[in-house]
Amino acid sequence: MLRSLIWVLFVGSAGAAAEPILPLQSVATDARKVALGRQLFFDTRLSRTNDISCASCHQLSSHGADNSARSKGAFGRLGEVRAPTVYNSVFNIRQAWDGKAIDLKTQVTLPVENPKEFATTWAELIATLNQDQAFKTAFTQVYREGLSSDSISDAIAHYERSLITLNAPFDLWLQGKATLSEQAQEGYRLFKYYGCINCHQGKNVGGNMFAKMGTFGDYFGDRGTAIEPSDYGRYNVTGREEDKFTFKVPGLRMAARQTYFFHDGSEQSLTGAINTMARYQLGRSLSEAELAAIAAFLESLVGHHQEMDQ
Amino acid sequence: MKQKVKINLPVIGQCLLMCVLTALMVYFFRAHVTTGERQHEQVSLLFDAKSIDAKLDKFALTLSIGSLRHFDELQQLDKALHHLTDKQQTGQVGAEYQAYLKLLSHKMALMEQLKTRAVGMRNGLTYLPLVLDEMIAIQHPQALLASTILASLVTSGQPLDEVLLDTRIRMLAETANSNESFALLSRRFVNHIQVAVHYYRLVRKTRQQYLAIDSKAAFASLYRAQMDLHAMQLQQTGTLSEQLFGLAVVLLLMLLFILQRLNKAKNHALQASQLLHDAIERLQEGFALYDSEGTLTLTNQCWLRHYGVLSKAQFPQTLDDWHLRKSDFVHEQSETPQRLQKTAQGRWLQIRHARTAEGGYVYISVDVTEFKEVEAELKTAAAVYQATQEGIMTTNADLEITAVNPAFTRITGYQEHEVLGKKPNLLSSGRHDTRFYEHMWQTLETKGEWAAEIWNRRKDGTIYPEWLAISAVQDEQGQVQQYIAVLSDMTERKEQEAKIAYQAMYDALTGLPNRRLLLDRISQDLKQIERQPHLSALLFIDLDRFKRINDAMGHDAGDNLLLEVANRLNHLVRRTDTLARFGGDEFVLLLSQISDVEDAAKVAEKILTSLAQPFIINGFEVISGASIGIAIMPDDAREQQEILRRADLAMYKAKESGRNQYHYFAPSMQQQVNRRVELEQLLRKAIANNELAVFYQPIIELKSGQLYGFEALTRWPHDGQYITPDEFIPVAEESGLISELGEWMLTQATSDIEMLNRSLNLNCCLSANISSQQYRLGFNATTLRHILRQTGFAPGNLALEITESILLDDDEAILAWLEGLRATGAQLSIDDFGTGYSSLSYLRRFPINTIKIDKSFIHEFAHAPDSQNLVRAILSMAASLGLSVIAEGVEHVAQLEGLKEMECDLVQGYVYAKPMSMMELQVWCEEFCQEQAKSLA
Repeated sequence: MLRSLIWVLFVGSAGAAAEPILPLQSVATDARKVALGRQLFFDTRLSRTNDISCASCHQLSSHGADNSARSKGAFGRLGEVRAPTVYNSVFNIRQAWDGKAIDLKTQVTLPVENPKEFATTWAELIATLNQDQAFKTAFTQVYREGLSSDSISDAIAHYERSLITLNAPFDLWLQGKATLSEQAQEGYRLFKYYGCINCHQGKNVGGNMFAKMGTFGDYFGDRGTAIEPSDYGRYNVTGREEDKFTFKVPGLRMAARQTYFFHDGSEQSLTGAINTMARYQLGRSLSEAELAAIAAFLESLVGHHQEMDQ
Repeated sequence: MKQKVKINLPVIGQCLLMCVLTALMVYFFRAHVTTGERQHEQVSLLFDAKSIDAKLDKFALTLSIGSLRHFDELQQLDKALHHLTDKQQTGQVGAEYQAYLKLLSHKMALMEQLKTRAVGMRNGLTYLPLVLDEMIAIQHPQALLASTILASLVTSGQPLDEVLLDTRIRMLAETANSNESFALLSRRFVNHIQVAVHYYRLVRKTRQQYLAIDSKAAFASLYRAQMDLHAMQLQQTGTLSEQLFGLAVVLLLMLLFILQRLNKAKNHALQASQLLHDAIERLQEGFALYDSEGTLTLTNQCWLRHYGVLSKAQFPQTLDDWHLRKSDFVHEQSETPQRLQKTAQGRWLQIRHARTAEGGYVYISVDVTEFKEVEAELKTAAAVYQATQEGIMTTNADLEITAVNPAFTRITGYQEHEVLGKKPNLLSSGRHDTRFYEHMWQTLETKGEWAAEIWNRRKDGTIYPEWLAISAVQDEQGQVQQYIAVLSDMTERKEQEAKIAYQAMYDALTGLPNRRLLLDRISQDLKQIERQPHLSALLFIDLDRFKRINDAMGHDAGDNLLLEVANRLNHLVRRTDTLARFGGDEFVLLLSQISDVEDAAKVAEKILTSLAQPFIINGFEVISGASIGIAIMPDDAREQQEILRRADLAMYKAKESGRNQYHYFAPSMQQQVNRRVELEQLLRKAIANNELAVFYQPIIELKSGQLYGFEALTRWPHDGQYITPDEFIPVAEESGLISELGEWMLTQATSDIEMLNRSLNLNCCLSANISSQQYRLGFNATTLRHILRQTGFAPGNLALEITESILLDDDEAILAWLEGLRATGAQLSIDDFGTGYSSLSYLRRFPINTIKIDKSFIHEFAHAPDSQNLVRAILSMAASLGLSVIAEGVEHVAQLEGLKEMECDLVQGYVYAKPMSMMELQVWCEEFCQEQAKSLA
């Protein structure tokens, strides 16, 4: 009796019609701005060394993230945190692991003058781009004011808003349009049963809240490497003691395809990451079968975007 | 000054009105539109924020009871709040609003913490029921304790006794369990419950912090501030409205004032305009006003009348238009401001124009047509005065000459300066006595004018006849002011009159007295005879052959011949005699007071001798000769016309009896004339009554004895006997009746013979006489054709008999006429051949077919061998010319035998048959034909 009461209170009505995960839908965008943004997204002139573009670290053909724990910026400098996926980033409550950017447009401005990323200045970047008359003309047709930090950011942000992975098998299943494998369904059940769903919910399966890394146990102590400033997470933004080691909960839509996990890129396998999460966030240990089921569920969350066809 | 105010008043009013209106619009916009919109926007934002606030509170509640499945909606709320925060707000409300938004942001931040902590608590709690289940399953000794701890944590409604909870957890953790599985479960339970409790405390703390925020009060104060602001704005609007109302009232008053002033000004203007219009209409001159734009603004009736239009609208409305239509509306814009112009209606206008101060033009027109006419009349009069052929002299009442014209100078020889101030009597010839002048003055006094022919003296002393007309010019009181004398020189006129008188009495060509003077002289002589009885003779001289000379040699030669004749006659007469040209080639000589009747014959003989001498005319020798008739006064007649007629008759008698003869008038002559007149009347009547008849005399072929044809002969039965053709044909010819008679006869004869030919199956010819007078009266081929067509007679069977005399004229016209007649198919025959000027030449020249030997030769045939020879000659000549010959008047067999011997073709005469009427002819023909048939048989 008591047990059922607790279920009702804390897990919520699992059997109810309304699911905690919602199917993805596209967001309204301006096609012309999207096109300009895409051009800029792949443009290496954005970096001082002319060898790094947005797409260098956000590899759209695979998962929108980087295939390394720390991304390489201009002059081969390594970033402080792992580059998260750019896919579905529009649904994040804040951008970046610590949520320092309130939205995509703000986020876009960050790498330009970051010495570990593009390592340039806006003035320089704009001057460089203005030399390309054809681009300048095309750009000015859309943005009257011409090339500026605001217009460039806006264009890229517009492009990023279009990067939504649609028609994931799970979404289709949710909408009753397709069937889902028993294993994936079992994974989804376990996902909810163990409480993963508490943080990873909503259409992006996460991304809409902040949570402390290591609810049970000492993740950073157990990690075996020294704590770096970036490990403080949201504390770097708010400065509140209680926000230390708190990070934006990442959306899991593209998690099944990723090669590196967590803000520090310390984990390289999906099941390992699931296991770490169960241990430090839920204080639980899962069987191999359970890990495989949850991995299958996560795989079913991966939708499609045309950039993946490139 | 006053006028200036009047003009400026509306302008000032308009400016003021515009300013006030603009101000009003600005006020209104500020007061109403902006305030309203801002208020609306602010209130909208206010409630957006309030809505976020309320939703946050709702989420906080949902979150704390753990029934929130995902945070996507909360994330939406976060974005909405950011949106609001992004909107920059300023002003009084802005501060309150920002404070409220800041408060909401704070709430949102707490909500984020709440989310994180609630999730942490949930993570701790999730595993606890399972651990508890396992503890109960293996009958864990601290299962009840664990159950109590969990229950105390999740039981709502009662305040949590945290000390007791901590004590129990510590108790559970510290209880040592020998059983390994008991110890593991206890550790797991404690581990999770501690995380749960830790987060529970954090959640509670955050919730308390969240609940501590009095957003309701903040909103209330914000709302109040907003309302205060709105109230203030309303108040401002109210104030503005009052100001507006005040302004409107002021405006209205101003408007009324302006209107009143305008109305007053308008009335003034109207009055002034009426005055002006009235004044202009009263003008005797035309008036038109064009404003500075060149537009016609004002005219009067007089102007329109001058240009012949009825209304102002018909007149050109602009100066340019006027200029274009100046052919209709004369308009010479010249530098001379005054000139005469003629309108299309023929009126003369004097048009003056001047520029107005405003820059327009004012025109004044005066109709000077009448002046112009008077002027023209005066000019004419002056021209007449200067140019007239009549001398004009004016004097004042004292008879002193005041003016003379050039004609006066020309007539009298006096220059104007020589006579001015002098009296007109310097012209006096002295030929008129004082009574004459007295009469003149008397007439002038009573009638005011006088005219007469008088003699005057020129400056050179010559006296000349003059027609003088004097008019007395009187003033209104009847006092004579001046005299006007018109005088014309009659010298020339007198001469002209004399000439005319001469021309009236004398022949222009010969200078001899004409018929009129002759008659005058005759009557004078007759009068003298009555007083002092004596004999006088009148010789009527007619030139022979004058017409032929005139026709052949021309009128010029004729005139010369007449002059020569007059010259010769003049030498033969006494001075007391009167030789007159009576007309044409007729001269009349009046021998006054002769002693014996024989004297006239002597003179006549002298004249005949003289005129028989050849004349040399234009280098040719011409022989004329004359015939003279003599009548004696008072024996033959006592009246001028009568004596002339008798002399004329005598002349005809002389002419009849051969040329170059003179003949005294005898009473038988008059009887003959009387008989002719009578006959003419009878003939006219006879023709009209169809009393005439045609008789036919057969013509026989001598050789064969067969019937050849007939000659048609006109017969006039009158009073039981026949008037002979010899008697009435000349009458018909003289009177012109021959034309009608001849055509009638021809028609009748052709018709009769055609009928006869048909009834007796004959093909007889017909001879008919044509008089030479008929040629003159218009008988021609056309007439002949017409007659032949009418009667159906074959033209080839018709022979037209003409006399020799017609051929004598030897005229081309005659030839043409004869050829025309021949062309119809008819034959031509010469009648009475041998009696006249028988000539071979005309037989050759003219298209003659037959000759008829005159009966006189046939009568003398038996006992005159000459006649026989002549007839033989004629017959041989005719044979040589291919002409056939008819012998007429054959009465005896002996004649017939003789002709037969001479091989004459055809004969006609009593020996066969006399002329017969148509009825008799038919009988005769039938008998003749029977006899012919018998003799042939």
